[in-house]
Amino acid sequence: MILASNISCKRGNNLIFENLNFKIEDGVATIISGKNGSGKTSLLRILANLLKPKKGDIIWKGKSIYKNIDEYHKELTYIADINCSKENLSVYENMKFWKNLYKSSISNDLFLKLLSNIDLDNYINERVKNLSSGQKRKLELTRLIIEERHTWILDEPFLGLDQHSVSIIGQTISDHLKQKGTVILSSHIPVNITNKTYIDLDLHESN
Amino acid sequence: MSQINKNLFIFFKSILSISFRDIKIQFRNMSYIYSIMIFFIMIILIFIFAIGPDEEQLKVYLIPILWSILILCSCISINNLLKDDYLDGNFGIYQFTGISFELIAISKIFTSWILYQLPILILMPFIAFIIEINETKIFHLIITIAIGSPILTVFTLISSAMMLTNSKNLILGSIIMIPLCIPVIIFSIGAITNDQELFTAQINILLSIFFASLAIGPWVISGCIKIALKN
Repeated sequence: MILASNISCKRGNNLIFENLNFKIEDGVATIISGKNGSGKTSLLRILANLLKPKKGDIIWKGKSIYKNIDEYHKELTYIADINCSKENLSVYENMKFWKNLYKSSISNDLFLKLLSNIDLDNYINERVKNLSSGQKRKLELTRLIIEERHTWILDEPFLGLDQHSVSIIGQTISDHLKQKGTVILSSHIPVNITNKTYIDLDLHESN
Repeated sequence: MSQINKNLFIFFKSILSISFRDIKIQFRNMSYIYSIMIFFIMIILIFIFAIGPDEEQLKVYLIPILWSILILCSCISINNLLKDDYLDGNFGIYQFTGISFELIAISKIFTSWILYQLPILILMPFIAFIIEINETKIFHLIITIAIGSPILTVFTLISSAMMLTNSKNLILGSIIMIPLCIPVIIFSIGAITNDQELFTAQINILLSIFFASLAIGPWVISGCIKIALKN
């Protein structure tokens, strides 16, 4: 469980939100909603410790994440709104790199199964630069399985995906929640996830 | 014990995967490396034409010129070394791997040296031979470049890390880097042009700069990356 206590965020001279308090429970998807500029990405980056809040604290396992940052990081998968796959490498080379980087125990057979589920099995040796934006996004989302982490922080994961792919990723998220995983995501696209709760940033907007 | 060895193996495999990936990506874009080498040769030619047909004068100035061009070539790659990983969010995801940014910086130093300095080190004896520098000086030149080029790589990466959040004033990277290179160029050219006794002394000083830069550089680079990530 993650607790956010009195978080405020300032970007430049703008106070994006202030005194935000919420609880993120295991087994429940927390969907962050709000209009453009309401601070969804900033909040996700704060939760991933990629951005320092102006004030406030994130509590995880009874302690501030800032006092236990290495352990906290080892629990996280963060999918940003941009893809981090390398354009000059093939689909397989990117996945293999993530596997080695995250010391994952995932097998090659599972790689193929994973790619087949998201209709990328015919592109396994294709360079990423030749894929469509939706296919690149699907490749990025394979990190959820490859990294084998407990907490998923997803910034607009369905960007550019077709309806079929959205439902597959929605199902993957639901399966992760059934295993008591934690999922925090922001999305403008409605998704079928069984167990979810919302944080509406428009209600915490600072003027 | 075997479990510890296995964990260590997996850990180093994880770090090396970053280096191997960077090398693989750059090898698929060889035009950049070729461009640096062609730039290096062309600037030498420009200086040769500028100095004119006086061979004695050419022999006096050529070694300082070669070293200056080496620094210029390092400056060119400043904006290419870390920016991609920063812009596509790779530095963000490295945070969650359990590998410290200092180790990632060491991996980047190793990769950058292999990609941008080693080709020039290999090219150097041929160029020195073509322009008729004597054998002892060629040998000294190669030794100074072998020790000096990793130092330049560290300085380039420090400058590159400082420039991560700066996308407008690209010349600033070179302005940060060039003053750092002054001691390296003084002792490298001193080692080549002075007699044998001074050669050893100056090489020792170069070696001390080499070890100091390897010891301090990764921490500075990692600090700059962390600051850039929080912005």
